[in-house]
Amino acid sequence: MIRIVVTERSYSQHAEATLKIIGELVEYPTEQVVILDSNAVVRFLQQSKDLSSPSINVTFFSEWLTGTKLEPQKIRKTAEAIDGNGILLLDARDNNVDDIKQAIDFFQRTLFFYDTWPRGFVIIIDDFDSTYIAQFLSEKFYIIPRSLDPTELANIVKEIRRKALKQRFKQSGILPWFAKKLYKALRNTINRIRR
Amino acid sequence: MPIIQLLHDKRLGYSSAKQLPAIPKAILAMAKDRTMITFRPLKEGQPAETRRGIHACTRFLDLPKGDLIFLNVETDSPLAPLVLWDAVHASCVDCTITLVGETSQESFLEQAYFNGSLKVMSRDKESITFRKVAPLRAEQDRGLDHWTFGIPVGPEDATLLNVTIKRILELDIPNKEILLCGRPGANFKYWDQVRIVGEDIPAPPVRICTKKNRLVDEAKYGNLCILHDRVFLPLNFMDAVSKFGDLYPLTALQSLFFDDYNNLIARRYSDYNKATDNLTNGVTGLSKNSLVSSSFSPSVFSELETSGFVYGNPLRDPINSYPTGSLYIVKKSVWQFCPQDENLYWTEFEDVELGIRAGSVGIPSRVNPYAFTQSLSGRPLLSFGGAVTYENIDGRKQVYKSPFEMFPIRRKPLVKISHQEAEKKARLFIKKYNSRTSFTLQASEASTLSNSEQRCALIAKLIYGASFVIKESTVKEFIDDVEKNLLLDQIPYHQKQYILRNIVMYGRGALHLLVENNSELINQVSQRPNDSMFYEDSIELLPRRGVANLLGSLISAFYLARRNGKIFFSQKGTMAYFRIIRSSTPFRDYAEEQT
Repeated sequence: MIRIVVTERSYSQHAEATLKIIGELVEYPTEQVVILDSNAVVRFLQQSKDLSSPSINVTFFSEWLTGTKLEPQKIRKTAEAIDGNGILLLDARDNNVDDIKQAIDFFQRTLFFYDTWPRGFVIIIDDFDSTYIAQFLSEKFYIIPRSLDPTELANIVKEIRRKALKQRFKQSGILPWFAKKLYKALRNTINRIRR
Repeated sequence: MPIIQLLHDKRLGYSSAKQLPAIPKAILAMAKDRTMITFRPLKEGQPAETRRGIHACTRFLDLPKGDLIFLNVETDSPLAPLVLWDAVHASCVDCTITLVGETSQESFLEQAYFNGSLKVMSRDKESITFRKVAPLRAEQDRGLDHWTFGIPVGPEDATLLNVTIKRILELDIPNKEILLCGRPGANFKYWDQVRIVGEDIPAPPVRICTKKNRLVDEAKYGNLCILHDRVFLPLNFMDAVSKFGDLYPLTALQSLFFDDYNNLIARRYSDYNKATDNLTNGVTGLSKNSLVSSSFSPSVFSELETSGFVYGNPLRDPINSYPTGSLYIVKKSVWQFCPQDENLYWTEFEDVELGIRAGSVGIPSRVNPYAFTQSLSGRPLLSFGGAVTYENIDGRKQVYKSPFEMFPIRRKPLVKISHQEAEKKARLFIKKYNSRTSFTLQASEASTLSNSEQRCALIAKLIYGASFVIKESTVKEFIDDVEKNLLLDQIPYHQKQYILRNIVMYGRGALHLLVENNSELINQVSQRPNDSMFYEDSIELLPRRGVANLLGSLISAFYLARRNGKIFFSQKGTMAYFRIIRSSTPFRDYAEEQT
């Protein structure tokens, strides 16, 4: 499922071209999130490619709300309604970014149990929030590989070994018995000296 | 009017004669021409016989023949199922057994196992009298001279299986047969000494219950010893079963595992367990193949796992106890009455289910304390840094860890997997999840599995470098693949569920639960902080004979004898433990002679 973040400006100024680009993008599934800003759309227009608009299931973010409250039932219904070949476009312009994140969270948890996902999930968002939402979205539906640098790796190994050694020394017979005795003796001696 | 007074072993903390009310005269009158057995004291006079130090390993096959009265045995002692089992099996047909005392609850003798053999003759508020009208099921297989040993096997390397079979062949048993369910690996040596059954049973998943039931059905003899191919029987097996006596219920042998080659680091290993908490805490799910709610349903395995399983004390009551699937000693007719649930597969708590169900139909579980087995290999999951939780003789849960765990003594391989196999599995994982990552596993990198520290680094690289869709099926598959191909040991169900939930919620941010916060990986590293977990040749799992091993066995025997009745129970002192350890040690020459 390709995830596309469309900026408000590109959609309001070049809606038709944006939809055409979306139709082209879903043909090449990727696990990356694609940001479609107005500059990209303008570049596309300059190339004047002849593409047909795909059929898109448009949902307005307000449909997921009752007043200002998010309605999980409505989100679930949207998720149920999309077929495996469809594209869902969520128009979330002029909404609180935290509410949008919460809605995407719930949408993802609903999709989690589904075997077939839509081909594309497109969200239209205010330009100001687009990168923020794109980053949030990038970690939502896929685990993206991360390569660890040697320091990170060393720290992880160190952490595992630290915990392992702690477990190894826990309740371990003779040595801790000696250690406890020694500790008590030292503590008593220090207390005596202090007194 | 012979009265036999039973007195609990004081260490158990069960009610003593002083704490119990004296027997009323009216009741005494009932026992005119019958033998009365009770834990209660007499108001006046002395009982004909007093049996002291009663615990779960005490047998009652020698009670006087004739009619028996059990006075408040069920209310006074948690050992009642064991006492009654023995008494009823030992009594002759036409004898009566009267239970006097609280009879509002269903009596142990009213359970399904006894139906057909015990008939209720009379019942009132105070007592219930049964007549034994026919021999019980276990009596159909009376006698200890004929034994069938059944082992479920798979097609993998048969080196350890050969060792197990060789030991069974050594046992001094008048009539024995060895059954294998499934076809062993190509290097199996004893084709002409065994009978192979159940080759049609499909795998995976490992249908361990179907295999064990098939072994029982195919068994020629009435005495069964169903064991796994990693269980090494003691040389004194026959002596131990004779001492323990016939007509036993579901019985286990205590099992040792030495983590080192000198028999110094002793651990208790998968023999007889107890669920100390309420199973699944009242949560049930639907059974696999029927519309019955059960605690043994896949939906509640994670709940079941947290039911406080500990190693059961062989001397304490059999309530919620069960022999782990590693070894069962049982009569054929008893198993056939209560076979394993074939809907459950391996690691699906099939042993717990059998033990609990058998207990509820009138077949208690117990331990034969006269011999120990040893495990040829161990699983890191079954101990935490070498520590195991057990039920102490007084019923408290305690942690046991050999005092020698801390010493830098050369250890056996941690898991029953070769280095090459581990490398192959890591490659499989890479192929599936890391193909998009910029690095690929080089041959030199794969060999880093021989060092614990580098293995951790590799696991971290592979898990953090993995990519997959956050979808129920794929996340589950990913966790299973980490378990199967990287950790090489089971991740507990409740942990799997926790990890799954966190991956859904936090995505990549939850992967630390499989790496630096993975209790199984930490446990493995704590047990092998520097060395490799794997072997080059499976023969490395076995110790050599020698002075060091002799000395180590002696030290362990001394230590275990000093703690007798706590983590293990045997009837005599240091030398008895020493003999137990030596007679059950799977020395390397068992495997070397084969090659």
